[in-house]
Amino acid sequence: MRRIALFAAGIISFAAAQEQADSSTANSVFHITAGLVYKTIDQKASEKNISSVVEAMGGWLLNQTPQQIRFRLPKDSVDGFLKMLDSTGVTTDATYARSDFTADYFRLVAGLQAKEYLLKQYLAVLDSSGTEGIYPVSREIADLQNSIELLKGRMRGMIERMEFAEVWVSFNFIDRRVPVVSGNSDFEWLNSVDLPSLLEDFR
Amino acid sequence: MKRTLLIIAITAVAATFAGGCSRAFTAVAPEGFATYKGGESFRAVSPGHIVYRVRTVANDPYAGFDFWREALPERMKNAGYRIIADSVVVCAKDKALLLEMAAPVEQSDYTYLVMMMVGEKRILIAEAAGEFTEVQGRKTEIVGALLKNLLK
Repeated sequence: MRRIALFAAGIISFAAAQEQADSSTANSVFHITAGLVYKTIDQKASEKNISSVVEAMGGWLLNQTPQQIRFRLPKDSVDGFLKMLDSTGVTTDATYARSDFTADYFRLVAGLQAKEYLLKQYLAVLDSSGTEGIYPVSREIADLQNSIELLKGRMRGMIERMEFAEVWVSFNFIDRRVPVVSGNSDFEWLNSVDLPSLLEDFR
Repeated sequence: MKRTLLIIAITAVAATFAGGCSRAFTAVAPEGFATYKGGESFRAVSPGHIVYRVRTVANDPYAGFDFWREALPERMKNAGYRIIADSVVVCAKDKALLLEMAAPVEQSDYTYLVMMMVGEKRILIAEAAGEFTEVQGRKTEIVGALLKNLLK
């Protein structure tokens, strides 16, 4: 009975948080992902430059391969970073995505609040329970504390994604489809302007 | 005697064509490029395998510079080229379109430069292409040469 009452309290708390999420459009939670194909004469120098700029802007490297650098950057620094790249090389492809996870965020907040409320209730029960009730109650408390920590971890990850954009810079084309040779223009001579035919003329 | 004169005349005409004098344009290769002799188009190549070609095509269907200035970048975009820069420059009183594009070729990424100049009957197309770093290292001289090509 007590458990049902506690569970009901959790649901009420969740509903309240959901209502809060629906009403607060201004507090939307976004994750920004940006990707670039960046062409430069000196790749090694550019890699060093990117690493130092990312660090100076308060970001950090996630991984680096000879083809690509991936890092996190404070959301507000992304525009400045892209401008810096434009002034030092050629950006041939760019992608920018903004994913809204407001609902997930508030669901997490509500879940956490509900579990913390339950924990508080269990702790109160523990105080008043006799020796025979200590074992089941303390097991429930341990389970709750465990799931609260898991939720807090997920929330920290979400907050990090909220505050930091994920950016990758590739030094080679990702999409390696060769342009079509014949083309599809109605004007015949335009179709003769193409790179594979030009290269073929020299073989 | 007449036959001999005829043979000499034919040989002279053939030599003129082979030398490229009959071309409807005057072409300039970037400094340090080796030029090929003869052919309808003017061709040159750098030690780093940057290729360079100048040719003309008939202005058919007939249209002015503004028309082809829109049509060419559109066709290149549709074919899958990334257009990096697109500018109109004036060379010898005529307007010219200069396109800088990029595209993957096998394992490398290439820069592809195209200059287009429109005349009454012919359209001049000058092209240069090579591996990205090779072209970027010599871009100034290549663009300079592209813009010196003229329709006769």
